[in-house]
Amino acid sequence: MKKTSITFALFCLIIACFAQESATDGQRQAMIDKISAASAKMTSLTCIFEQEKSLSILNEKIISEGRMYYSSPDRLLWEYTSPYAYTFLLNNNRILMQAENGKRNVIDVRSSRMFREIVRIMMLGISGNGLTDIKSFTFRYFCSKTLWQVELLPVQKEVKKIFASILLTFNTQDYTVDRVEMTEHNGDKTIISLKNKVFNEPLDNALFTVE
Amino acid sequence: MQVTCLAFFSCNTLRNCEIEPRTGIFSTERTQRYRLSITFPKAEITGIMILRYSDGQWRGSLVNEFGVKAFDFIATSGKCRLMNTVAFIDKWYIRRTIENDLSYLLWQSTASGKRLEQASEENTILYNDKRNIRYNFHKLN
Repeated sequence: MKKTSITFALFCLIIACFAQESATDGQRQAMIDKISAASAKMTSLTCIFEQEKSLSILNEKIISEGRMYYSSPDRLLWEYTSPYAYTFLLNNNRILMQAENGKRNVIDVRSSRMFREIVRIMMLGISGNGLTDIKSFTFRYFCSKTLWQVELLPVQKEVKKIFASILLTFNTQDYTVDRVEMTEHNGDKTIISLKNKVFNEPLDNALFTVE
Repeated sequence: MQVTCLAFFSCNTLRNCEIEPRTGIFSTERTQRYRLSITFPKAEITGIMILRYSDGQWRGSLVNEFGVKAFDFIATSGKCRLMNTVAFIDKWYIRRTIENDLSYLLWQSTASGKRLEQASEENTILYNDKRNIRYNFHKLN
């Protein structure tokens, strides 16, 4: 009985150490300030990403990889390289999506509310810019000594229909996003991890040519 | 004697009614992944389909390149049912069309208004001529 009590207490202590606590008002503001400052200093970001999609119906995962190039404030090249080739390119208000077979689709973001929200999420996920956008999301902040997380609960119905929540995990060294976790209503998740980040390197304008 | 014959005949008929998975397209031996495009008259869905056959049942999922799910499906006894369908195709007439088309691909069955232009484990193209929809499966390595 005594051994069980000690084991249980130890278990609770371990759980407590790893539990993310809701940030206080002061912590939340400090997080927003540091993340916003880091975002303001970022002129470009290059990295590789790994995307992991869990499928509960099959108990399987789909792993994709690719490269990302971001040029502040509104240019983004998101290229999948494995196991398929697919390109998403944003330049100002125009989006190009190009499939493996060369088929291209160009969209003006201004003509589609859905795409405006997609772009907002991507920019938020990359730069952390937009943490006060209460028209699009309700925000919940969590922090510990080693981990900062911001949970976004969609407000706009187009995004709400697809995602139950989006969780951003921030690096507490450089205050940029390391991981984006998007959860669907049935519990399936898409987790995108950003790796090998290089900041503020000059990028060729040709990378972001839509047409 | 007559009752026994009838019972035997009924059981045998039921076994003959069990619908087998279609051969030559999707393997029943392992999980498979495909690049899939579904082309409608005014729209297109592209992404990755992953599916598996086990214990008389097909299960699968179609997600787009960003990991956003289009739908899950479960197919048994010659039929197919979509679940967790993304909002813009979550209309009964669209679901029913895709369910019927997937059933045709997954089970040994016949249907009018559908034709297989190509049918192999590597690449399969199905046309739904009635609704003018094209399914193109390309196996991922």
